[in-house]
Amino acid sequence: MPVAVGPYGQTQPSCFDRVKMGFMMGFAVGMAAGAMFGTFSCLRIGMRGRELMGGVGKTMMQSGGTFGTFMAIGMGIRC
Amino acid sequence: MPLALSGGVMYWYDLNGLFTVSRNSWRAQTGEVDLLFRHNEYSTPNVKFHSSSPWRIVDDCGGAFTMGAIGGGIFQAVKGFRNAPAGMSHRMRGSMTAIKTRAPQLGGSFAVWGGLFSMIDCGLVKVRGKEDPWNSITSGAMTGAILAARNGPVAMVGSAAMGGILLALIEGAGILLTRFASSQFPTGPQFAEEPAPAPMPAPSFGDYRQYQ
Repeated sequence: MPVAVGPYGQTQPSCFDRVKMGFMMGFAVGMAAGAMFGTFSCLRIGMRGRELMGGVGKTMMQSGGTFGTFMAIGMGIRC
Repeated sequence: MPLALSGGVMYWYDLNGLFTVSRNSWRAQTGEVDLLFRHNEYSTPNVKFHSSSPWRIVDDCGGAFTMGAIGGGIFQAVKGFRNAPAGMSHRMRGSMTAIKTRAPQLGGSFAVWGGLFSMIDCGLVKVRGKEDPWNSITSGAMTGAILAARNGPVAMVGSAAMGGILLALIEGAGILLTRFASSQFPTGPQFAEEPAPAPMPAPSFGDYRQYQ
């Protein structure tokens, strides 16, 4: 059984906290990755200007959500 | 009590509030501190100890499969539900079919990625004799390249760049998270970027020995 108190008298972050942290970290990573890869793929299919901004934003949100979900699951299964 | 022994596995929380698991051998019970530390790789990649243990490969492979299967299940449930013909029973059945066909596939590809990545990472730790973010970045790039090897050199380079950038982002996020987490606890002793193995668990080992 995991013990609740750390060596510095710190309380254990709950499972939900860790899942949340994983989601936030995954979301940040996914946003950054989506910004890079989304820019490339949107430029390749010929988007420019305002349309490009929209396309990149959409890719960023999508990949952020995907990464966040997977990271949250990854944290959840190691609880 | 800072740590618990149960079934040969020790758990505690380090300064950063991150979960650290160590599989202790029988030697730990005799007071000889020879522990295999490993940590959750999704928390802080730079607080790893002795992560060249070969069991880490199996662990990562299985963890990646589980992660892919569960995540794939969630996403494919939504996708199958939306793509099925109208009618609740059709949608439910479509969702179930999508989960059953696609989730294990995604889990399998995650497992391949995770297993190969972990293998290269462990190999690099052994060969280079040190653990830093470059290990993960290199192994991410090499994993991407190897898995795209059948698609030709151009695809290999692209895939390697993608893997390297992705792992660099993850490592960077881990480092930032560690810095943020350690700045939140100003009362505890602060470590530098790369804590040496000895100082960090020292207080717990001090306590630990008292219990022997």
